[in-house]
Amino acid sequence: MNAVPVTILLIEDDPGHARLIEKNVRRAGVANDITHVADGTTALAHLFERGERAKQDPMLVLLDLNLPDMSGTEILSRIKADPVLRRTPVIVLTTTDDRLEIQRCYDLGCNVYITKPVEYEGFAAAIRQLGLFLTVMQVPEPA
Amino acid sequence: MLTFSLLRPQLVRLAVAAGALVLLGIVAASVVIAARTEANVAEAEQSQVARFTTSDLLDALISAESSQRGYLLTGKPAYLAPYTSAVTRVPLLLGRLESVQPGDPAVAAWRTAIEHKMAELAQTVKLQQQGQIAAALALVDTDRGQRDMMQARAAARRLMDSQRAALTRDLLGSRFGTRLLVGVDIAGLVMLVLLTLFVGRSLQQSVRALGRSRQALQEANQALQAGRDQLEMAVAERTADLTNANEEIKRFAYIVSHDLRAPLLNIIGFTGELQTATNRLNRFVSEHLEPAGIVVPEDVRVASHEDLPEAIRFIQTSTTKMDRLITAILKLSREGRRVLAPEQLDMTALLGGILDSVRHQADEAGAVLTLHPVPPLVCDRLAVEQIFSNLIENALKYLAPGRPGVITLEGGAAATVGRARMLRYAVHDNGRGVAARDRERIFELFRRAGPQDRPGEGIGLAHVRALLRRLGGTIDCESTPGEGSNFIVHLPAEPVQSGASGK
Repeated sequence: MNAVPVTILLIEDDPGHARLIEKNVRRAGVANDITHVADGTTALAHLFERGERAKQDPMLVLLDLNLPDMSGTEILSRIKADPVLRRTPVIVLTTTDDRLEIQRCYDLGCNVYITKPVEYEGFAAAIRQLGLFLTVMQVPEPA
Repeated sequence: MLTFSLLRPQLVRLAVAAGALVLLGIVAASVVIAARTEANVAEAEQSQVARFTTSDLLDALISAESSQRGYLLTGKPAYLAPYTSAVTRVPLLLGRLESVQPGDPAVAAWRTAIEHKMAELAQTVKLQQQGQIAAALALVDTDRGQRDMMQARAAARRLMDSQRAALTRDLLGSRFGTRLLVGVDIAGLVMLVLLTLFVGRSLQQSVRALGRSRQALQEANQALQAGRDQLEMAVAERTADLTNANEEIKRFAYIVSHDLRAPLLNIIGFTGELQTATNRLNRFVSEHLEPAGIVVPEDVRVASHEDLPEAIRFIQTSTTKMDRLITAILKLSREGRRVLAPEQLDMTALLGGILDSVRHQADEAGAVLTLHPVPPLVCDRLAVEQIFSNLIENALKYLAPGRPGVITLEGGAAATVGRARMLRYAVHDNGRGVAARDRERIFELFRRAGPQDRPGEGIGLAHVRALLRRLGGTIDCESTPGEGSNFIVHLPAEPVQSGASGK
């Protein structure tokens, strides 16, 4: 485990989805702090406007692409263009399963792309697997 | 403009013909007049010769008389030399005159007068030579010589007058001929110049009219081209508008189906939570409360054991169906966005492959599948596979109960539509058939026909028709309810070139 606990930044405009994601991640045994923001502007503020020091904290981003004020890909490209934040793993978790959109996210540097399955069992299973994945994955130490 | 163009060429032709005639006339007149003038000049020459000859004769006569007088007076024969010469010259000159003026009575009178005079002279000279001077002089005294000479002079004068008149006449004639020739030439020249001017002007006008009509034609052509360009532009604009509208509908379908999914996920997700919670609650009641002897009121029991699970079940059935519908719309809209990749398709092999994939299902239903050879096609493989899979699956799905199914695939060439060579592929079945009022409806999204005893959302045939539209094809349904259906697909043998199709 990392010395400093990894926080999870959940960028999701739908409160229901956010709640379901959180519930299922917790059920998988993930105890890390989860910060939930509901729009792109708040997300960018959280990422970039708390100072260079805050950027050093190990973090993992769960990103929905359909945000009310901007596209999730915009946030993704900002993160991956930042010299410090670009090492932060970004997991795109969205309803879009368009092949071109998926390719675009990987081109922009997204680490994992997960389509939200509509049927609940599938969704719950996917999130729980993601939770298990999160418990074992190593987030890089910021330089 | 019309009369001008009709009349002018005729006039010009006439003018050219007239010019030719004038030239011919000038040549003919020149020949005739020249001949006449030449004749006049020849006659004038004759008259001149006659005149000189007459004058020479008169001179000879006078010399002969003078010589005779001298001889008579002196008696010296030396004086007689001119007379002697005259005696030989006079007949010669007379002969020449008569040859120039044959049969002329004035010449005859002249000859008579000369012969009289010469005879008188000859008589006196002869008497003198014989020495009879008195007789000779007496003869002279008779004034016969004088009279004869006067008559001869008068005859000569008459003759010479007539000769001068003839000469004048001939000279006048030749002068008139020359003038006539000049006049005719000038008149002809003037006419030719006028005709040339007229023809030239006419030609110039024709050329100008030709130029004008060519320019008018060119302008008309340009106007036509401009109109055509405008029309093409309008068509291109409309096509672009339609393409845009089409794209917008596809995007709309995509966004709607997409945005519907997000709330649906919540409904499904929290219904799931509700179900989990209900189960936990009921388990707690049955495992902990009831064994402890706590009596759960009947209405609470009904609520937790029956009402809640029933409500959750209904919600789940509905959300599942809604999810299928949204997925279908999404699939259709995505299918509409897929880029088609036409390739050469061995349709007999392709349809055979589809039949193989459903053969197990057909065997179970006791249905017989038959495939006759069909013509090959250049088309998008995936789209064609989806079309015929749908049709074949439908045929199997809606077989008539209690009758072994017979499904037959066949095809061939069809009539050409526009520039596209069309091919026909048909799926025949002996299934339950489609009622006449449903034959159009079955191709609409979410619409189904007949008893709703088979699973399905009413998407398959809508998808088939949407695909065929993109491929430039059509589908028709022929059916006798209770006996069977024929689904007939028409597809272009090669992709149709069109700006509107594509994406």
